[in-house]
Amino acid sequence: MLRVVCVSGRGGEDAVGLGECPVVRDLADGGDLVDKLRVKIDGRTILAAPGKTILEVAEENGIHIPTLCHLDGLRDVGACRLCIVDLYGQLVTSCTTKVADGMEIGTQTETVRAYRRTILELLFAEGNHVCSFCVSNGGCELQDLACELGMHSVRVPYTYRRERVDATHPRFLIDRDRCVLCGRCVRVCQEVEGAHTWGFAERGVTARVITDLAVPWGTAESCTSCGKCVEVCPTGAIARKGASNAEMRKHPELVAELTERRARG
Amino acid sequence: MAGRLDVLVCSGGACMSSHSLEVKEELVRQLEAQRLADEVRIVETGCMGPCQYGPLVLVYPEGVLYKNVAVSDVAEMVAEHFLKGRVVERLLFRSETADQIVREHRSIPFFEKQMKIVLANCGAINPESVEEYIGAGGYEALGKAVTTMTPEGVVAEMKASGLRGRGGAGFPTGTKWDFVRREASPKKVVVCNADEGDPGAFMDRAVLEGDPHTVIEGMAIAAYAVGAQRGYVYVRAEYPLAIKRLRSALEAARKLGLLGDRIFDTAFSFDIEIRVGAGAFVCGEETALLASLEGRRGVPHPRPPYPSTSGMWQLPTLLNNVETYANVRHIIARGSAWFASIGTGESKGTKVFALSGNVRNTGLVEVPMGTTLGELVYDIGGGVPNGKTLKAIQTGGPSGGCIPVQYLNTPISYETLKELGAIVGSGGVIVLDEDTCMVNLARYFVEFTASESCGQCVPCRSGLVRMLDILDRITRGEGSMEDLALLEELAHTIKRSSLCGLGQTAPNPVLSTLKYFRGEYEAHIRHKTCPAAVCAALFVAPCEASCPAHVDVPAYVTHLSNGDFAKAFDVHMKTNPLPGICGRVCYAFCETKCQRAQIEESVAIRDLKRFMADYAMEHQLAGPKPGARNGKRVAVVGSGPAGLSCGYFLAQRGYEAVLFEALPIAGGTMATGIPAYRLPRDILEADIDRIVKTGVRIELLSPVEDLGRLFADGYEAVFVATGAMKGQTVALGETLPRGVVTGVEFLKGIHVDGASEVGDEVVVIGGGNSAIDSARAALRLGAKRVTIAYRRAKADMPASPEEVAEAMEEGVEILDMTSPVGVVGGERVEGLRCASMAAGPFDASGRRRPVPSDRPEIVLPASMVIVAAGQEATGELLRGAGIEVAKGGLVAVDPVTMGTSRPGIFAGGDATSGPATVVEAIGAGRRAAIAIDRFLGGPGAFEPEERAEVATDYDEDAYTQEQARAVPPMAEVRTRIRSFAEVRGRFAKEQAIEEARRCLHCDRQQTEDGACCESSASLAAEAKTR
Amino acid sequence: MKLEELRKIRERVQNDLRLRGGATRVKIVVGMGTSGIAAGAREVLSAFLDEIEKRKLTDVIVTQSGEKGLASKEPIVEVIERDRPKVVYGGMTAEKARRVVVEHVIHGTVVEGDVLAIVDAEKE
Repeated sequence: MLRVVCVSGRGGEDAVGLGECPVVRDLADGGDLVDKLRVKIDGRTILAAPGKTILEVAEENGIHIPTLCHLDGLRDVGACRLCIVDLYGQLVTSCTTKVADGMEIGTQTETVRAYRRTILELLFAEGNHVCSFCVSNGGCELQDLACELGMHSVRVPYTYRRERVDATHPRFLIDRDRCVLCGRCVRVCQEVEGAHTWGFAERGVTARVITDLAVPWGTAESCTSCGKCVEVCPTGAIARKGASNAEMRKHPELVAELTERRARG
Repeated sequence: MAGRLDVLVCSGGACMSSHSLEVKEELVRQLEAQRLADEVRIVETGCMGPCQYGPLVLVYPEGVLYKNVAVSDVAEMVAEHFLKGRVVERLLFRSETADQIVREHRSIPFFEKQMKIVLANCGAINPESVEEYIGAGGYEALGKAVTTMTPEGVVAEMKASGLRGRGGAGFPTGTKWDFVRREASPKKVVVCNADEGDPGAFMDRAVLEGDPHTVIEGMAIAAYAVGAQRGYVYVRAEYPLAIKRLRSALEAARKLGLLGDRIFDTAFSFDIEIRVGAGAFVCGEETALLASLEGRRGVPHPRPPYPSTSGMWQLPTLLNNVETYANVRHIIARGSAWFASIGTGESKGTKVFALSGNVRNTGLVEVPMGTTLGELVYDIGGGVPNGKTLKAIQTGGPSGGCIPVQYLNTPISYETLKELGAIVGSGGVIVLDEDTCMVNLARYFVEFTASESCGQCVPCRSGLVRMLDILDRITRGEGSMEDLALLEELAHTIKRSSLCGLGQTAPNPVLSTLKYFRGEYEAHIRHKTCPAAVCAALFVAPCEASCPAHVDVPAYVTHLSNGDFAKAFDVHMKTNPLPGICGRVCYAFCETKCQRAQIEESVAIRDLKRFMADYAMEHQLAGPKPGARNGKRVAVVGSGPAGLSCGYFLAQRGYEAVLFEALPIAGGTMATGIPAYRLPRDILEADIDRIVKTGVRIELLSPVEDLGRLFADGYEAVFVATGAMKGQTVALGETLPRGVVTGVEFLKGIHVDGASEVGDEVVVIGGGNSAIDSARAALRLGAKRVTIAYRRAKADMPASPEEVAEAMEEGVEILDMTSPVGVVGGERVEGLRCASMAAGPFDASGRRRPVPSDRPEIVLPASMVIVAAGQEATGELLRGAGIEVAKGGLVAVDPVTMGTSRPGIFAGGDATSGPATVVEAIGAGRRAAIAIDRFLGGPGAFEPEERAEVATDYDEDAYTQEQARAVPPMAEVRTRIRSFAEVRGRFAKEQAIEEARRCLHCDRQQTEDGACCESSASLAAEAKTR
Repeated sequence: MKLEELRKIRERVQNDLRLRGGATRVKIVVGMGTSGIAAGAREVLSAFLDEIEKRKLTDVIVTQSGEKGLASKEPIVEVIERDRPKVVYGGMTAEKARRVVVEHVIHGTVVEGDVLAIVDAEKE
């Protein structure tokens, strides 16, 4: 239960006219005095704990914002730009922007939706995202986003990238044509596994993820074969060997569980 | 040792690459030889600014600046100047405005309007000598700051100065310092961004190479103010000389205790390290730079956190660029009030710009904020060379935008440029002339940013290549209007949703060119033409593309080079039926784009055409046979070039074309306005006769007063080409005395009515070709003295330079900056009162507007005043047909179909464009004929046939060597001013063939990737080096 | 490094840089045409430079010019001061040059005996 105290000195516990209170404190969970901020998301006034990102606050309050490179348990980088929201006319990524008191945020404005769709089109056009031939068909975050954002066509020509599949690892493979460069594999390997096997190479459209110093994955000595990269990859780019069409189902939520458990010790 | 002379040799990057160090070595040798080594001191300095004139040598105490000094010039310089005191004039600068030699370097226009703060020491002291830096007041500000000011005081001073970040974003520097100062951390860092990456911008390099201590001092003051102990200079690896000089400067500063522990005996300790970047454009973005500084992959991260709270190693970090730091010591030493007094509004101090592109003086210039764009380009830059006109100014590099010529009076500041869709940015300024294709330019910048995108965020990584793809298609003529819409949408998406400054600004070149030059994009898409003749896939050759009639110049010139004169004539007649006339009076747009000019001079295309036309006339070559009659009749009103051309092309398609001419002679302005010494009447008649023989009827003395009548008479379409025949008047008084006439009347009087009355002293008002024609005709009619009064500068005269030169040869006097204000005289004119004008602000055409000067009025004695200050159309006929007629009698028509607002009525030539050229009218007539054909159910196309390249039978390579342009014989001045006989002669046959062989055959150079101009230009460059 | 040390370096070097400063009070022009050099203009020039350096004059520059067309009076030297008529000396020697520095340049007294002409700047 959320109990609210206004500390402006203008009333007691029952002073819930939030609009008038400059600072609000949450007395829930044992009564710790935590400063709460007021933000407005899509017209709703919401109380938020400081230090949280717009994305976190929105999700806590049941407001969905599409994401791709974000994953609970990993550092946010703001790379995919799909979680952009309108903040006073500026577009900011909700995964990296912390809430501040008085913020007014729009998560579903016309511009935001249009730009998200265009960005998604660009993602589809730069790779070979042909769902019917993909191990992750039906369990793919990119596919889900296309449905969610109502992207029914791609207006720019496909580039039909042709990268070689690296199947040198005994258990996993990577098909870079399906990679969206979200960097989740790189971060999980670095931040959770601590192996630093995955990294980025090159730049612009030729940027790609590599193992060790761009050696075949099977020969990457730092790889522990833990499989975390497979679980966090949002598409069918990194997959378990042997999975056939639409058979691959991933569990990116494991990362958050893992980091929480570690934090608890 | 102080000597008698200090000889400063520029050893900035540009001068060194043109061998300034060898010049220096030779100087040392020559001084030894002349036993002057004790009296003359040689100093290597940093960049002096006018880089294109390097190597530069500046001699003090006189301040004489020598340009383009070669090793072979040194002996003369030493013997003449250093020993005997005679300045070597041939190595001095020339002033473009006064056309005179300038000795003293401060008087060179390039330097006059500059104000050097950041660059004060560049080119003035030896960058490798800390002592010279100290002698010039160096480290005084640091001493003052650490011994007499508090850190808060320094920050307050910086805030008060109004200095803003010179790296591009323009964030207030003092505020940034305050953020870092307020952080509680005991450890802080200052970083200097020397990862200068904008193509064309090199001021940071110049400062590091020419005055490294100024950056060190600025950083040390900053460190003291914010409480930092360490400094890092992130400099790109492509700047080895900057790194070397900075390294030696750091060592020298450490040795003197100006870096290190307890600086100036205070508690302040500070040192600086150099970090060499591997050259990624994105590392100019502060968060990417910091990542790279730490040794990580140089990609940006979202802000906040800002570097001021968590930067390098998560420490509070102050990050400024080189030029910003270079301002610091001056602000501290001379005070914020002094600094804030320079500049304008919210933009204080000076800004260094790297001037490049189509401008006479390229190099580094430092001007106070608030200097206008026009002053930068014209006064400092010396204007656009090669007789070309200014089209736009690109500022801010790949993140910036293009500012069109009508904004030359804009004072440069962060705000004003942003308002225009451009930015000050790091200070790159590219001057663009008429030969620049804006689509291609935008494409160039997007290609750059797409390849420099770090690849992290989707809009920038993937969006920019899509934009590039669309731009590629447009420049190949394969774009659609939907592409244009998508291009704009992508641009906005990328601009607003990208992670860092690179992506957020990368679409600017596209957005700003779309804003000001959308028509050029549409020309590529709709008409498949590149107006600037750059996008090679869209034209045969630059000459053909620039010809308003699109004559296949390479084909006919090549036929001429083979001696196939008749074939050349046939090619010409396909698109232009007036070769004799155009061979004499054409403006020859083709020659202005001729790639041969890269070797020496353009091919003499017009003289070749004249040779060919004369050959055709003498051999009675006929034009093509008219097409089979289709029974349809089209009326053409007017028999000038537009009407003749339209009638000719209609006849080719089988129409019965009838030209209605009000006067007793055909030819329009060509007959009434162009004097015979330029266009002999037999030539005019021969061209017209040939057209008549291809099936065109001309009805003389048949004025048309009602277009409706023509339709009633059975004509199915009408083309109105009535020209712009009305002479404009100038306000000279209520009632004008006798002897004041318009140029139109005067010239028509001579050629149509046979009049020959002219006064002894004739004054002509105007600066166009008809003013020159009037003046030269008056001379030929016996005037004793002919003067042209023109209100602007001579260089701004719209008349062709060739005509102006010939008139002056003949004794016509031109008084420029002279504006007529009234006539003197009773019944007859006795004189013309003129005001003396001065150059005012820039007008929309990019020329300086003449404004009254404080000099007194003058009276030019005149027994005749000819007003040739412009012509206009009347528009009466079209107005009568219910078509809207704008000011000046002009009628709006579709540029492609020449159609008016009424179906069936077409218009073109001077009647719709205002006074223009013969060849433009020919092009308009042809387009109208095509459109009329389509309107009347025809295919509306003339050129489906495949163009065949013409082979040659001689050794083409032999003609890529330098070979002077052929000049035809000219009548002597003495004889020519006595009659109306033709002035310009004709090539002899062999001469014509030789001249034609100078053609570089750009039409053959086209490759899949459309690299036409580049390859012929590189051929030209290659020929030059041989 | 103390501030005083910095100032010392500055003073020492400033003299070195004075040619480039342009803040000159007196300009001495030595005629260095062929006949001037033959008559000993080089020695005169060296004497001027030496004397100026010795006396630490920072606002005086020495420069040279070509033939003056008065070969019999060479070496010819012009002393130009701001807002004062130009003084032309003839038949200079190293000795006389040093005297010009002391008497004319420092104390402002024209060395009458060697004067060829005194020219009003306006008339040039």
